[in-house]
Amino acid sequence: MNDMKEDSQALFDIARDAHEPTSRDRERVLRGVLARGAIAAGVTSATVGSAAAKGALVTARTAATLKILAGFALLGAAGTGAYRASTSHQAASAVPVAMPRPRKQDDGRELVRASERQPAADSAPTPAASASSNTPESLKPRAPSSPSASAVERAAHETTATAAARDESVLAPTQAVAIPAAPALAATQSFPTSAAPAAAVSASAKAVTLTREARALAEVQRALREGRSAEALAMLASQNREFAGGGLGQEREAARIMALCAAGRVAEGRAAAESFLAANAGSPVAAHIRSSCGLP
Amino acid sequence: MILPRSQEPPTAVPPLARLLPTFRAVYDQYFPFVWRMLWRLGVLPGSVADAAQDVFVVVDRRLGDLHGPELAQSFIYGIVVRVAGDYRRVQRRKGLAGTADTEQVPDSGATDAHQHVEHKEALALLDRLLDELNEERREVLVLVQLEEMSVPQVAELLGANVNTVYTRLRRAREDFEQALARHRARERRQP
Repeated sequence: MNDMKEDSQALFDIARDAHEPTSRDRERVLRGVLARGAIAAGVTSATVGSAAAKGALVTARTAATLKILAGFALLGAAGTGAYRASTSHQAASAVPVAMPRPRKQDDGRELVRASERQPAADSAPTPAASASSNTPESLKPRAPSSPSASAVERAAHETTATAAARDESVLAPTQAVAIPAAPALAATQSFPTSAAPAAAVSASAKAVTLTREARALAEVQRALREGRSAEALAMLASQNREFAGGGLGQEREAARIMALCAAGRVAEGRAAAESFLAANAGSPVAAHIRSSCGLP
Repeated sequence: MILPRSQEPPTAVPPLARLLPTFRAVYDQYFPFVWRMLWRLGVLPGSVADAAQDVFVVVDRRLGDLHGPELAQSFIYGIVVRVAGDYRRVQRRKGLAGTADTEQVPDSGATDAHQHVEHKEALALLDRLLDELNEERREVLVLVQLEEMSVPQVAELLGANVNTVYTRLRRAREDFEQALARHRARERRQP
């Protein structure tokens, strides 16, 4: 069934193949989701199971983002950050679209969105940036009582079950998604844009490790938030062995200091804090280390 | 079962993968669809990557709620529509709606330089004309004309009645023809 005039039809014919993403688009967005979703939230769900595959796509650039996010999560662990990434299912379902976006840290350093923009993107609007300020408030999920306005608008227009069908919560748990899982290797191969093959493999391997390292650290931070400081210390000891020379050593040391002080091993914590602060005076977590160990 | 254009139906999968949809598998399958639809629902070119990221952050967090390929697509499409709506609202507020110019539209794949320019202009025009449609009609028109879905498939995707979709499609086509006619008339006045 097609009764469009030739003139109109020609426009659609041209456009039909014009919006295909490139492999670079695919990679860029994936990196962004990885940084914002899995790592920031420190999740341990099924999502994480695929993170190794995701990690294979992460480039060295992501390493910086992950590191910043890990540092940011530490601030949260210290009890000062308002942003508790929504590990709770309810929070996510209540605010399906309006996701919190950590954009700036206390020191004003921008938490880059992992999507490195195309040149054209610089002039384009970023709704999140305009819709929310860069204050800590913007780091909190929006209140569940203010659902996406578009959802409301749409619901008002729908006369049938459309609105209900669009609400993911009504989906009946009938069957699982039957989607072939793509092996990580194939995924790597699909991005020929990355430098030389050997270099790409090496960068990918590093990124995979860093992803694992960041996830492991997220577990520590969760333990800290939940007051399981002894457990956090045990995890940190094991991670220091596993990721010796890794990219998040400083963040682990900061977490260890907080855990020591939280566990009541204050003298030990303060000693470690003093060496840490001497070596990393400008660290974003310096102030939190001081306050968690009662240092001036 | 509905699948986005140019997507192969899933082949036999190991039982475990069937039980545990990984984010990566969902991403790989739906990324092209999400990407195209964000463009086609009016997100400006420079924001498509951010919008796609927003969509998949939600998908990532709601992974446990994906049940079955048909529902998965509806679920993801629902998120796309909402995210696209959010972006469009901001674009409108900033007076940027329908301003995608020929510089920003994607490469149409035309080899010949002249054809290349023509294609870019056509894409920019299409964006502007689609922007004149209301959202419901626009989405139906785009799904049928560009994603090449049948009306029953669109109805299933939207969770809407088939007749409703037919009606919307007919009106969308009328609206589009009128918008194009207005555009051509303006062109004639100001060549």
